[in-house]
Amino acid sequence: MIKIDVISGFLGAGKTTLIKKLFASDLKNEKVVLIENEFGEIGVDGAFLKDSGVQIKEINSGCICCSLVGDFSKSMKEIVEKFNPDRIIIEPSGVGKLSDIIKAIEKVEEPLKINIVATVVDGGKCKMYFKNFGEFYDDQIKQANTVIVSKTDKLSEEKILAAVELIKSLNPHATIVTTPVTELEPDKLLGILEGDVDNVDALLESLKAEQDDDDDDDDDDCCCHHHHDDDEEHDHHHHHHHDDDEDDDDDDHDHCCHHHHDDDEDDDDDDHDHCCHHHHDDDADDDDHDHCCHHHHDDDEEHDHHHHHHPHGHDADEVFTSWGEETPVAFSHNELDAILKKLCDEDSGLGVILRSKGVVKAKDNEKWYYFDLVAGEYEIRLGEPDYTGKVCVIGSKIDEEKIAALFFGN
Amino acid sequence: MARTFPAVIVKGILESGKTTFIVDSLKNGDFGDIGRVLILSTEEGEVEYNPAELAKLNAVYYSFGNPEDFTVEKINDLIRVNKPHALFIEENAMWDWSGIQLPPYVIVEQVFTIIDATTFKMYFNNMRQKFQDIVGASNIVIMNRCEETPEMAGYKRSLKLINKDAYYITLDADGKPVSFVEELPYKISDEMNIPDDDFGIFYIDTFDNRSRYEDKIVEFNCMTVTSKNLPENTFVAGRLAMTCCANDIQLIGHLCGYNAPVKIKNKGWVHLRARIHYLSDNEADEPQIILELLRMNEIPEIENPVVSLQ
Repeated sequence: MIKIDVISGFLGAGKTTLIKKLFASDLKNEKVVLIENEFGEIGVDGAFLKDSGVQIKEINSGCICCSLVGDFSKSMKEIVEKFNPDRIIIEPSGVGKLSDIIKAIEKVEEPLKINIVATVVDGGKCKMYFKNFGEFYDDQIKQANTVIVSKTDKLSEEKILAAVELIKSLNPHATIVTTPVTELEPDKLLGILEGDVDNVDALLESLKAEQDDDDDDDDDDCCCHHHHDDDEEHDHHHHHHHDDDEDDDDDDHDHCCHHHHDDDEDDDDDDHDHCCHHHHDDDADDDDHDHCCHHHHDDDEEHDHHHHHHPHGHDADEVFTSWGEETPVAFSHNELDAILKKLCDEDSGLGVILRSKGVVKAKDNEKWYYFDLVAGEYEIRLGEPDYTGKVCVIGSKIDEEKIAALFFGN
Repeated sequence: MARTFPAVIVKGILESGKTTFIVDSLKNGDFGDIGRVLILSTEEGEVEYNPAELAKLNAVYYSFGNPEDFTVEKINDLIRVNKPHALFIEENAMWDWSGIQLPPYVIVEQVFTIIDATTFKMYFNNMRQKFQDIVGASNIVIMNRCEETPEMAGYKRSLKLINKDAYYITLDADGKPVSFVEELPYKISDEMNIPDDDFGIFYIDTFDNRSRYEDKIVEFNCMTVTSKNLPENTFVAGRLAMTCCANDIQLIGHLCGYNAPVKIKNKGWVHLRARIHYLSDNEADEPQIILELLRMNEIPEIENPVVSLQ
């Protein structure tokens, strides 16, 4: 199967910058063909690509009317026959509809597999473009698995937050990258675009799994979730069946390996990749193997923000709630320290905080802050930038609103 | 007799400066004493209208969020309520205007296209069709935020190939008129040879720089196109030009007259030698150009027959 990556976005959004960054990743060991359907501002120059061994094919029709008509299928066939690549990256015309491009790819009678569907959005202009451009612009955001907010290094936090809100309103499922791509490790960036995302849900799940361990003391805890489910199934994952301890092991295990919703044979392999990926993380934490890898495609909007755990015949004491959010907001060491202190304070009125973990952009450092709070003690350390910040808290009777306000002000 | 309302249409891609153009025109009285103005805006760009400022200029605006709302009925209502003497219509270039109608008593007097020179290259290369649509329908094209780069003259020429009849204005970042001197790829002399690839430049330049060409002798390869609609003993000596894609191919060329009887093959290829005449006496008038055929001989079709805007 040939991987097809589509990097979409309006003119001037920063598609070429992203593609250049990708060529610095593991991708350079693959046989790649780049199809450009746009005359970029910064052209992907030939010399640069020669070194990386990438073939460039320009389908320079240069206008909306003919960007996808007819010859696309033929061109793809020619490319496959001539180069037999591992991967084809398509940079479509920035004024085309992404869904049309995806449809056109699906029609090609070659062994192709759509891999990355990413859209680059100019963080400073997306609101204005959204208001005035109409369908093709919305469509680029709606169809993407990953939305990269560009130019965030030149924007205020308010602007970035507004852009993220707009993107979420159009596409609640996309991974939203708010960190400038230049600050991300190329391989990490490639992983994110390919759906290998440690998002806030994954973080929450891992914390909950740890919490379960503490409760149950028995599980082996690798769990790899690959959610493609609707609400009903989804809820199921989040219930904790503590009442049938006998089966618990099996159940959890099931959850683990069961969520490879096998709509597709290949999926299994993929899931495995997702699962194992986390062992490659530079993060030397012991609890690394506890991480869950989620690839959410579910329809539950709420889900992105809040995770509620419902009791199943347990004492109220054992009920815990979790809260998590992704955020581009930056914190100074002092600010973060004050927040974590407050979370440790039993009299803070926030509830009983069992666990908090996260990674946030630092105001006062090039690196990012990684924090981990367990039972009244916490540590903050520096680490590599992530695609966006994320914070989560697990506790008993926690006041989510107050916690959100603690992190983000009002 | 039914009353009519003159209208000015302002086209251009988002952020090109349409709103600023409209407000500045009203401030400066560029359109004379036109009375109360109703601005129909179909875009919310960088610069937004300030109702208080507009009130001082005897103008009001109404903003349309989507094309479905831009109807004859709605415009009727707005005219009835606001009682304007003239209309400005700020057109969102991403809308499909082909199906949108204005009331019959709204008479379009002038159509402007505003272009931001700083994004022109990227937009033009990728949205040729849009430029074809908006520039092609305009009387006046204003390119603002121009800087003196060697590419500027080329930009203007590309647009003139789309619409040579429009009046082109180039302004710098402060709104002051600037002009660009272009290096021609061929030499101007009493007898000049136009390379095949430069035919588009030559064609446009004959309309722009009469003094360079008047009464000079020129040689180039071209197609001979005949038609019943042409005056007797004339044909068009020209080339096909493509602005966007195969759908937009059009003929560009000069009328060529001959005295001696010659056989002209429609769409045949020739090497042509001719003298350039300008018919009007006034430099300021739109030049009427006619070539006087001196000699021609048939040739095979040239290598790149279609003139490209690139």
